[in-house]
Amino acid sequence: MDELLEILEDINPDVDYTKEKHLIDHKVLDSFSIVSLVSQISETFDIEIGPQYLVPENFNSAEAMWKMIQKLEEED
Amino acid sequence: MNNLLDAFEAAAEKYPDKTAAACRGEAFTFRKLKERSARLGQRIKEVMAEDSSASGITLSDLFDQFVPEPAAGSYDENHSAEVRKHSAAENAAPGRAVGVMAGRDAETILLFLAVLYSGNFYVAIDPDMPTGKLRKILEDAAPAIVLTSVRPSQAQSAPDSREEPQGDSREYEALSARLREAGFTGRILTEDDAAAVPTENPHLPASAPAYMIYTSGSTGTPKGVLKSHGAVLSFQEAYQNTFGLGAEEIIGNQTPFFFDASAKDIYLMATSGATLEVLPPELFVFPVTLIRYLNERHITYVCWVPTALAIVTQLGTFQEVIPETLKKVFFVGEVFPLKQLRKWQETLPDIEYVNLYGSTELAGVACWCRIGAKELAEETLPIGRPLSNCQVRLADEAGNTITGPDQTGEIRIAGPALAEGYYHDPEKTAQTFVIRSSGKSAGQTAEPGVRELRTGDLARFDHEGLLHFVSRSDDQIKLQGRRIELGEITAAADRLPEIRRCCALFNEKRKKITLFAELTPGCEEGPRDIIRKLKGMLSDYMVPGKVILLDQMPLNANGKIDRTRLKEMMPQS
Repeated sequence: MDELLEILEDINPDVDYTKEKHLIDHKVLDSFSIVSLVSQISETFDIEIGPQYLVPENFNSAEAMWKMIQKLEEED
Repeated sequence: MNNLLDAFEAAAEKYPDKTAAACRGEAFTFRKLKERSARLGQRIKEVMAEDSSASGITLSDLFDQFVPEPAAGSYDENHSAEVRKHSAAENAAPGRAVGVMAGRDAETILLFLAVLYSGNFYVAIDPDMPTGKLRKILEDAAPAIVLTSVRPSQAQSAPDSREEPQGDSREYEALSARLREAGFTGRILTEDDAAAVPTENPHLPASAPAYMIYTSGSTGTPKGVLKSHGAVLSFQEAYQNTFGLGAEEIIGNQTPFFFDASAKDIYLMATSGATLEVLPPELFVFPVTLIRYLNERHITYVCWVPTALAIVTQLGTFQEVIPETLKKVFFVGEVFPLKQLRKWQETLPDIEYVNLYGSTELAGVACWCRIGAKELAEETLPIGRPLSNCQVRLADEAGNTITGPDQTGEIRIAGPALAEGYYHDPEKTAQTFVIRSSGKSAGQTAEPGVRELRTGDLARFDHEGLLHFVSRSDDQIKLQGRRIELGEITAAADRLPEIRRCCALFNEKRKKITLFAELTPGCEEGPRDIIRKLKGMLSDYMVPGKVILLDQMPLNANGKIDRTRLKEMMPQS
């Protein structure tokens, strides 16, 4: 989880990622940061995030992203 | 047809019940759009009449501001004088600026048309811009009215009510407070203020100003670029004829309405009877949702910035969903990364891909090129040839025409689509819009005495006579006496598979070329590896002295690389 928080803080350090649950809805993450985020998560956790996982529900909070990462790691 | 409303009314008469503009379930038919914008137009006229203190501008005011004084020997004096006389005689229409907070909804289109019905011109304003910039724009344009699609609360119309403002109304109060903070003292109107009876089409002359968009100037002060009805119509006619665009198109609009590129979409709809679907911006975060949405709404045509299209292929979207109704994919505003465009073309070879080249200083675009497998095999994409309403030539520093292949020159454009100039900035206008020298130019399209836009963009002709963009002219530097195009360094680095996006800049202080780059996911090259590879591709004196790797390239609101922010990141010591 710490590694994920580090990636997110690099994108925007002014957000409390442990509390914010609406990263997409509140426009904290936009289309350009998603491209960077997806590539960094894939690289750091050595997983492939297929297009079917690219939905707002998986990216609205750090917790949701973490769940997705764990699921993909299990599948791997 | 002389003006945009004549063309719009012709479309509305032909297709009254067709959807003109739609967004998130809100939709206007052509009939509804016409009736409601004409009624709001009437209200704008009434408020303007009450407010007699604000001074209007006339076209001769504008023209006297914008036409440079002929300098002996360098401009065609007779022509310039003639243009002035002609303009003063034709001018009868007053026009004043009306601000429109350009939200991402279908109603904003209605607000734009309402301003045109009132006989004035609109200034499209980014509702989220910083207050300082908003203040500068409001001071410069001095609108007496600002229109918004955000509604005030019921509580305001019923002063006794103690209800807390909700949703939209809270947004209205925030907007109103921000406008006041930025020094706005005029009236804020919404569509609810529309008059009961619509106004008549004012049948303005082609030269009447239609709209103004502020672009960020390099000095930090926004510049207002003003376009006439005639300029926009001239572009639409040439564009629609060239690409066979018409009422059957369903346009998927990506560009925010406070960017000039959006006017292409708006007036394609308004003058041809096509349908404009305003795509909610959150769709662009997840391309699978975006492509599904395009399919649901039966989108046939898009004209987007390359970054928005590249995200689709970068995230592997086509493994999950394929665009089914899309027939035309046009792009403009920056160079499309070839790797991503190839993926589009390989997956969807039947789509018509067109690379467009334009400038904020003209309506629409000036050059175009269809891109197929042949063009994609080259190292750079051509911007092609001029649109039928534009004359385009390349000029050297002295203004002489360049015709030979592979010689670099500045793109100069003439024709009816040129903007009127920069609002309240005659000096900058005279530098950018010049009267073509009558002297030494020798090219086939270089007749003297024509008003010409200096784009500041450098290009070359290839052996087939197609134009290729090279770089911005301010990208040209001199290092140890050698002339270097920074664009050439960027293009070379861009060809490395390890690099996803990059931009070469010159560090004036250290006299060093710096390359900012974002790596392709999974690549672990360091700055030294990149420099070593570039040494094999570029002359020694062009190899960057420093490579700075970024997790993400800074982009502006329209998805282009933000060079100002990169310059701020430049090492100073």
